[in-house]
Amino acid sequence: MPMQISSEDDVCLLSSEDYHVKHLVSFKNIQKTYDGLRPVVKDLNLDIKEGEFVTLLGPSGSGKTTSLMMLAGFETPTHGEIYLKDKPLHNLPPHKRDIGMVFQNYALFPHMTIEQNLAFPLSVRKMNSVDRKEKVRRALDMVKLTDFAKRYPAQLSGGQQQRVALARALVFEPKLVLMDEPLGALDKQLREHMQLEIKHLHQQLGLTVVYVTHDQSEALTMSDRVAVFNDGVIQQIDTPTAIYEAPNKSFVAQFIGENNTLIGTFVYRDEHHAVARLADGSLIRALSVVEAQPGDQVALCIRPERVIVGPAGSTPLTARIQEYIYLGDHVRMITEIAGQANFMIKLPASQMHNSWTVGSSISLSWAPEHIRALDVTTH
Amino acid sequence: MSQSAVINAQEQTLDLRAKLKKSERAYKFKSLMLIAPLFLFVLVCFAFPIGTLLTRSVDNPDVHTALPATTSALTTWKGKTLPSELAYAALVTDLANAKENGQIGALSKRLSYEIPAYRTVISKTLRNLPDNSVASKRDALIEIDSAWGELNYWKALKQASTTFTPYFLLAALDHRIDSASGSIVKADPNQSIYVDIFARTFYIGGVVTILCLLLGFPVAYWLATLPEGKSNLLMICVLLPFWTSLIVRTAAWVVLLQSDGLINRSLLFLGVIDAPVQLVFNRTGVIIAMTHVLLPFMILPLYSVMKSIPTNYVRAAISLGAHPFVAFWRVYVPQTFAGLAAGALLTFILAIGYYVTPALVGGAADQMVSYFVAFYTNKTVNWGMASALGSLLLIATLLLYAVYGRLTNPNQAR
Amino acid sequence: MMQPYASTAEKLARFGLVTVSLLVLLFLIIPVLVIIPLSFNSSSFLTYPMDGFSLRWYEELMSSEEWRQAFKNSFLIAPAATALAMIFGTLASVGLSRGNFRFKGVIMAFLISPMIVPLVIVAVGLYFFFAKLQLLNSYIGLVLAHAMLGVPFVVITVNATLQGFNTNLSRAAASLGAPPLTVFFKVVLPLIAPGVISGGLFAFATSFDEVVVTLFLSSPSQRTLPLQMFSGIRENISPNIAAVATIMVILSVLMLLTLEVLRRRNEKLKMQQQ
Repeated sequence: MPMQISSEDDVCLLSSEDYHVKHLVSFKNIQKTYDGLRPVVKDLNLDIKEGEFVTLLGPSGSGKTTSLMMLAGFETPTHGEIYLKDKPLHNLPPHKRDIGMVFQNYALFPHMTIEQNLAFPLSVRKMNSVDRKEKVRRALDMVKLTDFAKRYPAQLSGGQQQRVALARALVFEPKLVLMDEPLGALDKQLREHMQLEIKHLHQQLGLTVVYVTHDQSEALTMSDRVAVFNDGVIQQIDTPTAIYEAPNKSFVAQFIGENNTLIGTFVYRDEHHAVARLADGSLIRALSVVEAQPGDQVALCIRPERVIVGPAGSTPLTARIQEYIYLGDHVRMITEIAGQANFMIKLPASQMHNSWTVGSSISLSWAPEHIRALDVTTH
Repeated sequence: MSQSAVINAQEQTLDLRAKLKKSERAYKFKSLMLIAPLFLFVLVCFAFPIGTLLTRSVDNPDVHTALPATTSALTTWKGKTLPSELAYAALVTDLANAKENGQIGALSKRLSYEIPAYRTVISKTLRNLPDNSVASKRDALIEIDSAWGELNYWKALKQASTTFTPYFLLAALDHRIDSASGSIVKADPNQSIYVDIFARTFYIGGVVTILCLLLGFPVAYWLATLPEGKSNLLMICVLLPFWTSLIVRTAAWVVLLQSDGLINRSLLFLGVIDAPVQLVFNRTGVIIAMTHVLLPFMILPLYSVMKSIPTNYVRAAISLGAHPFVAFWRVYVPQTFAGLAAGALLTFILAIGYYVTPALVGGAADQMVSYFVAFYTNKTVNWGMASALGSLLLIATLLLYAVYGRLTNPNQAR
Repeated sequence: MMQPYASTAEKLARFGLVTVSLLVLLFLIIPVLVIIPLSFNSSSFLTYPMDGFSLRWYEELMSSEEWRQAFKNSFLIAPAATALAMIFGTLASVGLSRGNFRFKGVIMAFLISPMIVPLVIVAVGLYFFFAKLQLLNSYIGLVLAHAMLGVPFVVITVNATLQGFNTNLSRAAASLGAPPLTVFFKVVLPLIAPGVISGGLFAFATSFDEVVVTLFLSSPSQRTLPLQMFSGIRENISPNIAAVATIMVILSVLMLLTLEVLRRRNEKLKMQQQ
C-alpha cells in the first residue's frame, strides 16, 4: 500500500541529531479535571511505540476518551505533558498536529460528497488538484468505495460511512491515527468484519493506532497492547493474552471476560503462592499478585473455564449446583461454594455428567497458577 | 391442493381484503370526521373570504348593473363607428333608472377610472337628460355633451361594462388597456404608483431581512455554543420580545426614537450630535422597528439548526488539518444554510405583509402594500383596487411560501 | 465552544462574537424594558430622566371608559377565540395523527395557512365576507376571526406533541378495557396537554396582539386593547400607553414562564415514555 508519511512533514520532522525514536507518543504525568475538584484523568503515564496498536479500554467516564482528546488537541491537560516524537504538544493547536482521527458516528461532512470529504484534508494543505485527485482515488480504492465517490454520506450504509471515515483519516498520510469508538454504531457482524479490516490496514500501512472502546472483545481482537482504564487511572497495560490470563487487579479480572471472585483472608505466602482462608475455613493456594499482610482480605480470582469438576485437582472443594444451563457447545453451572453464591463453572458439553442436577454436590479443583490473589475492590 | 381448495383459499383472501378495506375505511372516516370541523371552519372563515377578495380584484359590477340595457345594446357593437340610435336610447333609460336606484355614484367613479372626464360627462348628461319626446336620442346626447359623439367614450364604456375586468390587476402593475387601441399600455405617469409601492415593499422587506441575518447569525451561533444553562438564560432576551405584543414594541420604538426620546437625548448628551435627529416617522424608524420585531423569527430557527450540528464536525475538520476559521467557514457555515434560508424567507414573507409597524413609525413615503390595501378598502372604498393589490401580495407570499416549504421539508431536501 | 490552543486571532474573533451578540441582545430587550419605568413617571413626557414616581397614568386608565371597555373586550374575545381554536385544533391534530392517508400534507398546509397570509388580506377578505353575513361590528365575528388566526399554532404544537406520543399507550389502555373516548380523555389528553396548552397560549397571544383584522371588523364599541393602543399611538402618544404596554409586558412574561414550565414538563414526559 502506498501510504507513506511524507518527508516534508513539518511538524513531526526529526532533525539529524535526534536520537532514535523509541516512543511515538508519551503521556507524562497527565492530569485532567474539568471542575477543579474531581480529576477525570489522574497521573497518566503511557508510552506508545511506533507501529503499535494500543487500545484504551474502560467503562464510560473512566477517562479514556478524555485522554484521546488531549492527544488530539481538543482538550488540554491540567497538568503534565504529552510528547509526539519527543516534541511537547502543549503549544501545538490540533490542526497542526497531523494526527488522523476517526470520530464516533464518523463526523462525515453531510454537505460534501464522499470525494469532497476525502479531498478536504488535502485541500486545506493546499495540495494541487492533480495530486489531490490521485490520493482521493487511491484512498477510495483502499476502502473499496470507488463507485460511491459522487454520493453524499447520507446515501451510504453505516458500514460504508465507517469506511469513508477511515479513508478520510488516512488520506493525508498521518503516522498516528486515533479512533474514538469507531465501530460503536454498527451491528455485531459488521463490527467484527470491520475489526479485521482496520487491523489489516494497520499492518499494511505501518500505522500507529490509538483506539478507544468499551467493548472488551474488540480490544482483545485488534490490539498489540490494551490499557484498561478505570477511575482515571490505567489499571493494567499489557498484551491481550496477559490482560485476560494474568490480570493484576480485581477490576481488570472482572471487566475483561467472565470471572469468579472468592473473598478470603490472607494467611501466609510461600515462594510464588499466597495461601488464603475462605469463610468456611478451607485454605486456598493462589498465585500471589497483591501485596498483603496476614489478616488482610484478598480477592481470589479464577476464570469459569479454568475450574475442573471432579476429584482430580489439588485443592478439592465442594460446591452445590444452584443453576444448570445447557448452551449446546458448552454447559454453565452456577454453584455455591464455601458460603459464597454465584460461582460460575463453564465446561465443554462433552464433559457433562448425568448426575449433575440442581441441588446435587460436586467437587471442584483448579491448577494453582490459574487462581490469582488480587486486591479487594469495594463495589 | 385440489381445485376447490384453491378456490376456497382465493375466496378467503378476497374476503380478508374486503374486511381489511372496510375496517380501514371506517378508521379513515373517523379520522376525517375529527379533522372536518376545523377544515370547514378554515374553509368558511378563511379560504372563502380570501376567494371573495380574489374575485373582487377582477369583479366589475358597477357599469353593467347600472346600465344593463346599454351593455346589451353594445354587445354587437364593433367600435368602428358610433353606436346605433338604439344604444343611445338605452343609455338614456338606463341613466334615468340608475339615478332612481342610486347607482350613479359607483357608475361615474368606475367610468372615471377609464377616462377621468367621464365623471363630469355623466353629471352633465344627468342634469339635461332628454325626455321621450326627443326624436333622436343620439343627437340630443351629443348636444348635451360632445363626448357622446366620440368613439373613445363609447369604447371606454363598453370596456368597463364587462362582468370581469383585468383593469384593477393591470392598474396594480401600472398598466391599463388603452380604450382606443385595446392593447395593454403603461398607465399615465401620475397614476403609476403601484410598482413603486411594490418595489418599496420588497426593498424594505429585503433590507430588514438582511439586517436580521447579519444581527441574528452571530447571536444564534453564540447561544448555540454556550452551555445549556447560560444559553437558556440569555434566550430570554430573544423570547421576551418575541412574546411581547407587536403594538407594545412599536410603541416602545416611537418613544425611544422620537426627537426628545432616549436615543436622541443620549446622542446629544454624548456630543455625537448637536440637534435631535429625525429617527421616527421615516424610513430609518420603519427599518429599525421592523428589524427588532422580526429578529426573533431569524434567531430561533437558526439557533435550532445550529444546536443540532454536532461539535464533532468542526473537530473532525480541525483534526484533518483545517485552521479553526477554515473549519468554521467550510464545514460549519454550509450546514447552517438550510436554516439560514428558511429563516430569511420567513422573515421576508412576514416583512412584506406588515401594516401596523410602518403605519405607526413610518412616514407617508414608507407605507407598504398592506397600507394601500387598507387605504382603498376603508378610505376611498375602491374595493377593486384594494383586492387587486391584495391578490398580488397574496400571490407573492404564496410563491415564497412554496419555496420555504421546499427548504424546510426534509423529504424534498437532498 | 472555545477550542483549546486558541491563537490570538481566534481569541479576538471570539471576543468580537461575544461583543456583537451581547449588543444585539441588548437591542432586543431594551425597548421592551425601557417603556416600563416611563409608565410610573409623574410628568406627561415619555422620556428620561423621570420626574418622579406616580401611579397617575394607571389611575387615568382605570377611570377612562374607553380603556375599560378595551380591557373588557380583549378579555372577552381572546379567551373565547382561544377556546374555539384549542377545541378545533386539537380534534384536527388527533385526526391528522391517526395513520397515513392521502392529502395529509395538503390538509395540514391548508389548516396552517392562515398563519402565513398577510393580515391585511385576511382582514379585507373577512370584511367583504362578514358584511354579507351581517357579522361586521359583532363580537361573534371577532371571535371567529381571532380563532381562525390562532388555530395554526394549536395545530402545529399539538401535532408536534403527538409525534412524540407513544401509540402503545393508547393501545395498552384499550387492551385494559377502556372505550375510545375514555382512552382519549384519560390517557391521550393528559399526555398531550402541555402541547394543547402551549398552542392555546400562542392562540391567546395572537388574539391579544391582533390589530389589523380587528381594525376592519369592529366598531368603536368592540375596540380591543391593542386596537385602542394603535389609535392612541396614532393620535398622541401619552404615558397611559406606557401603562397599558407595561401591563401587556407583564402578561407576556407570565405566558413565557407558563410556556417554559410546560416545555420542561413535556420533555420529562417524553423521557418517561421512552
